[in-house]
Amino acid sequence: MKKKQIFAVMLAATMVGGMLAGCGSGGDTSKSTSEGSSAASSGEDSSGGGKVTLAVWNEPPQDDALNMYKKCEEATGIKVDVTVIPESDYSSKLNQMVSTKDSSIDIYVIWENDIANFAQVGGILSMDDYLKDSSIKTDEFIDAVGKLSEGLGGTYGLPWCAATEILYYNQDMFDAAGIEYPDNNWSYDDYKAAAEKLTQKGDDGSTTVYGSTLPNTQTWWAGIGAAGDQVYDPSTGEMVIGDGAESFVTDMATMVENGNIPAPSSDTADLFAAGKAAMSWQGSWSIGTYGGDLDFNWEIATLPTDEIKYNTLHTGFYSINANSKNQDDAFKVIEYLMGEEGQEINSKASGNPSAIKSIAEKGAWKVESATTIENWDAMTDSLQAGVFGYTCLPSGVTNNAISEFNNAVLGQKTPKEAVDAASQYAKETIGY
Amino acid sequence: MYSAKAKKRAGRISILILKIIVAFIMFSPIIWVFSGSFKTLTEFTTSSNIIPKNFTWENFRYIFNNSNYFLYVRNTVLLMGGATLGTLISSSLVAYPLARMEFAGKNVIFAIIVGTMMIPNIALIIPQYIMFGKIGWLDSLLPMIIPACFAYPYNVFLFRQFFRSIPKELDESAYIDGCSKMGVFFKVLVPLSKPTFATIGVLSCVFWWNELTQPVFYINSDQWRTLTIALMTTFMYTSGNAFVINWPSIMAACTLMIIPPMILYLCGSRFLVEGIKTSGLKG
Amino acid sequence: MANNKGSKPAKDKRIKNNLTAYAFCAPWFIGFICFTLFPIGFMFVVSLTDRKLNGLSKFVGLLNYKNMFSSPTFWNSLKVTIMFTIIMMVVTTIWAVILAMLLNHKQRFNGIFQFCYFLPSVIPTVALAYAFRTIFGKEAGLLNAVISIFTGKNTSINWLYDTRTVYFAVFFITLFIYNTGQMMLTFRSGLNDVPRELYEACDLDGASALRKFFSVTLPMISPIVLFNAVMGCVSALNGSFALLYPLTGESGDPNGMTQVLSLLIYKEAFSNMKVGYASALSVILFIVACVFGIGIFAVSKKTVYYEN
Repeated sequence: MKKKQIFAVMLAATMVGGMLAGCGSGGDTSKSTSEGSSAASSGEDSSGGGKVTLAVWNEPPQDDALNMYKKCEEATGIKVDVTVIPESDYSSKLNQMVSTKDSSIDIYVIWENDIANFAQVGGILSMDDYLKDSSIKTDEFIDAVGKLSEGLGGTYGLPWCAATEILYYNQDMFDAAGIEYPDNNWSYDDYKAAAEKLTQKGDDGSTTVYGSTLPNTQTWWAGIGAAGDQVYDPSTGEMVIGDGAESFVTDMATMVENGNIPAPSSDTADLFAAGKAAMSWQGSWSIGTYGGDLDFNWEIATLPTDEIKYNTLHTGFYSINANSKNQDDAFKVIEYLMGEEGQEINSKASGNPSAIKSIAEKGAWKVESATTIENWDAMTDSLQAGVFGYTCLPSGVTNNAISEFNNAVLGQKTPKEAVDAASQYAKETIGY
Repeated sequence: MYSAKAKKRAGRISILILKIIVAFIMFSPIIWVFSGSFKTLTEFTTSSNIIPKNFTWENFRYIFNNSNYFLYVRNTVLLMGGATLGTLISSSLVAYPLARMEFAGKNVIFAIIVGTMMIPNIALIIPQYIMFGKIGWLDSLLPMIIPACFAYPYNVFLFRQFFRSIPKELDESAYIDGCSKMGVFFKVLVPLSKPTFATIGVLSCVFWWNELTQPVFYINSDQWRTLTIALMTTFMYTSGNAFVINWPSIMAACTLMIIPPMILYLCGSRFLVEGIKTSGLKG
Repeated sequence: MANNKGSKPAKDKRIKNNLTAYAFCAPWFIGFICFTLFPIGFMFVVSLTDRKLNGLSKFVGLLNYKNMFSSPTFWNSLKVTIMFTIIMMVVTTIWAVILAMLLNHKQRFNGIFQFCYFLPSVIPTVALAYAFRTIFGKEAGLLNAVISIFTGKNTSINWLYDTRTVYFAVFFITLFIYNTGQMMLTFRSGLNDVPRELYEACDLDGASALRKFFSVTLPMISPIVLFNAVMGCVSALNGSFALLYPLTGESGDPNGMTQVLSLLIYKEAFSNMKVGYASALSVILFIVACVFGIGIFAVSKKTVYYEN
């Protein structure tokens, strides 16, 4: 009798465990609860149509007119749930999902460095069959972008845009300092000289307004590339940095020491937007972010030319999870997003041109709210000079390199040590 | 005599001043978080005022309107509730024979339990991650809730210590009344140790409310994010730009996360404070 | 009756008794096998392969260990882990004693003081980390502003990125974590248990407050101090990830000075997808934890009285 009772207890315990398990996975299958609570952000459920989840690293715009996912819902009747994974974890989390054959996300926007790997392990679907009778203009991609997805034995991803990196500057500060505005032929030396002149210091010698912001994790590579390094070797897949990186890092360290550029710090802030820095090297998508929100007149130009004119192209590839249960719906969503309207909204919101030439030519990327910009040629020039560089390297390697460069900027290592350490780390990791 | 009294008075006052200074230091992060949640991004990144110049509710509005906030709350509560319930039931069951019965291998089992208490979870997380990936539990709360249903060593240890403090005579009289071992557990121990269950439950809730490490490893998609993860992901960046950290939004989310433990302290400080105290002592 | 050798009912009863006990222990046993023992074994196996995050792997023998032992990053990280654990233990213990002594000084508003002292320790570590990332910020940080007010000079110390100040900043933050609060509460009750007569005897001798502390208080609470301190070790090993990952990032800026092993494991496994290598690192962390664990046993055996 006692044994029976014990069995009963054990049974009860297992049942409780099972219940909790059910509790956990129950939510997984019946998405009603999550849908209910996310309805607030994603609008009403469009009845009848299916539902597709999409992973991306940027928060969608808050303005509905510029939110291509919302527009897509309206146009296709398919509900689009956007999962935002921050850039710092994006590649890692996607790799985890692909490796575990996760099916919770139907559309991945995949980075340049991951697409080949994902296609190889069968994590994403070849879209060739779908593309046969679709309206997407696959033969009109910008050359560099088109080349990236070659050699995979099929079309596994469609580029969602062609973004580039440009120089942002505060016109008011240039006026006040009496310096001529940068143009698209600005040299690196011009940039350094201007940064020094634009720096304003207080009585105690500390900087109040910086000449320029520190390069962010993306534009570090633009500086290194412009200084003559190859950055990424497509034939071997290795990171190639050396003298160029050393000289650029040295320059940055000197400028930080002179107070022309802020040192890396824990409370990462956008000093350019806050009016505390006169220039900034950033991705073209910041045009969309700043729009009409800045309190001063600002303008863009191409990044300054050092040894060569260099900036990194950025894109992301819409691709369908091979384990997705809504592949047809997923393709319909992609078809909309790659179509004229979807691309146009994306350009308007982000300031990034479409990767499809005929759509890009229409100029929807000239963000309307950024009224102070006249030099739109900066964008087309940058696109022309742009190459796919660091974005093809594993993110762990590039993040580590940035961390090393910061060490050098802070004077904790010599630039040479930092560059060597970064290369060494890259070799160990890529060769693993 | 008079001077000695004055000296003592001075001592008391200086201690009081010291106490106030320390209180300021200890409470400063919370004040900073609260004040930051009412600032605009520009003000937050350019000035260090405690009282916001442009007082704004925008950050809270942003959180409630632009994120699945209630989904994250649901996930956190589910995780907290599931893991707590699981560990309370399983740990108390395991602790019972260790505290009240004599059986072969008892000391060995107890030694292993104490030993595993010392292994930091983080050391085993990679193999566990692979394992949970194989059985398809990643990106759900299961990798955290299910292990909790199989007795946490630390909680077993605490339950054992509490159970031992209950007089054994009670068991024996229950046996005489015809109770089984099971019966003793449910009719004698459980009713007598309700405060213990409450204590360990509260501790477990606090732990899971604050837990970051395991969700960071196990959770990928938005659907199962807990509040701690959402803090590092959803609330972190301004829309459209993944490089500008949206500090006020983080601070607002932190504020919302701080409030429940605060209320718990104010309402249930008996369980919280006494529980932590005793668990620390017995531990 | 139990001594009645060979008596069948007694033996049966003993077996039954054992079985009952084992049945109660079953949940723990299953959990121990599945979530502790098996992962430990599996970890060793994976550490001998070049497993990547996408699951592809092949046997490489001790290559991971060889690479690890020749990697300066690893040695730095091991050093940081041990140093971080020990210093954090010392700093938090001392601070907890100070807080407890202040609170035990019976005065008005003690409830409010305990609220202020204790609350930081039950708020999420990640919230603390973000709060301090900005408090220690260079441009608009609270601490720099406070120092500026007191010194009258414009201060812009880059607390978390300067090699000279980063440890101060990080250990300062550990004063606010859960473990410190827990220790403070245990010390409070420990201090209350110190017999009053001992202090009165001291007062008669005219001993100073400092002397009283070292000759009476400290010896009386020493078992709690020691035990708390070593328990702090484990929580430092375990909790450092939740604090440092949001605070200084996976690379342990600046210059790897805060890169404890758990951060390195995360970085290698998830940013670089070297799961096999990360497993080898986990093995080392496991061994470090075991060493600390054995230390705890050695210490607690001497100082803590387990009623058996």
